[in-house]
Amino acid sequence: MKAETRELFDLALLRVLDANRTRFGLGLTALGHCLLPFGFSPANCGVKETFEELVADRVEYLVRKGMVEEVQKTMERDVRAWRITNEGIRYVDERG
Amino acid sequence: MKPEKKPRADAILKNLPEDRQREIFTRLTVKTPEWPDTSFTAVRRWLAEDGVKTSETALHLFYSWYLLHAGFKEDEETTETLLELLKKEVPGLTQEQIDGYGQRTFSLMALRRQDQKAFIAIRSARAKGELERAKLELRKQAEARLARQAELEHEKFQIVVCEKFLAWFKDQQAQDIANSTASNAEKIARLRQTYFKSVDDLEQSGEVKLPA
Repeated sequence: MKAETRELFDLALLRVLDANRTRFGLGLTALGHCLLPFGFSPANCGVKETFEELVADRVEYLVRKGMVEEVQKTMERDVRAWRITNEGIRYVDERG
Repeated sequence: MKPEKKPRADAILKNLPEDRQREIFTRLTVKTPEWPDTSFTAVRRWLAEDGVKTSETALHLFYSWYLLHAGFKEDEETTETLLELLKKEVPGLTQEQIDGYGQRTFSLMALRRQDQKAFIAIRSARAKGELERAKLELRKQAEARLARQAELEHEKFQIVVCEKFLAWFKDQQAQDIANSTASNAEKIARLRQTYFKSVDDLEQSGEVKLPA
């Protein structure tokens, strides 16, 4: 994935997370699904790994950047969920 | 000194009160005789007249944001309702389990965005399935507890009987009753009368510790 596309992908992820101001986070599958309106889908991403792996990879990157955090630490893979941080909200607001 | 950065136009819209956001979204989506033009241009003009300066790009972004935002809020309300039902049906669940079910349910509902019918079917089946699984687990735990309790009571009873037998075997009074010519029923009655006079006597004798 080109750097520019990756940046847009990250921004789309943050937009989705930004829209979720509830007490629950979003899991990887739900996150990926919500990217559709932003033009990202498994069909058009053109990446070698699966779409969910791509989402997981970018979410981890955004966590490292302090823009996303995990909602509750758990061993159960299907319960893992993430939400945006204030830093992430600021990033989205600055870029529109 | 750097001039203070102006907040982004769409950030203004996202930070408006909930009912105001709803109104903007309605103007962008619902045509009425009083409001026939739902274009971004018309809504931007209407907002400007109301003192809210924004751009059409910002309105586009706000529209996408609000669509998701409203959906997530609705999903949260539905999830909380389901959790309340679950807590009533299965009171033994821990907060961690409840939060886990809530998180799963919420994430699942986000997948239904494109298909209302499928979501409703999935949500109902899933919630029902989760409830049944949780009930079954608790039933199994309760049954296991009861079984273990019964096992322990049985073991205790056997030990007490054996202890009593050993004590009575040495006791002259018990030997006299056992060796008498009375019928079995009479011997049992005499033994019971001798060694189980009353609950209070038994407790005061210190021979047997009665349960609380």
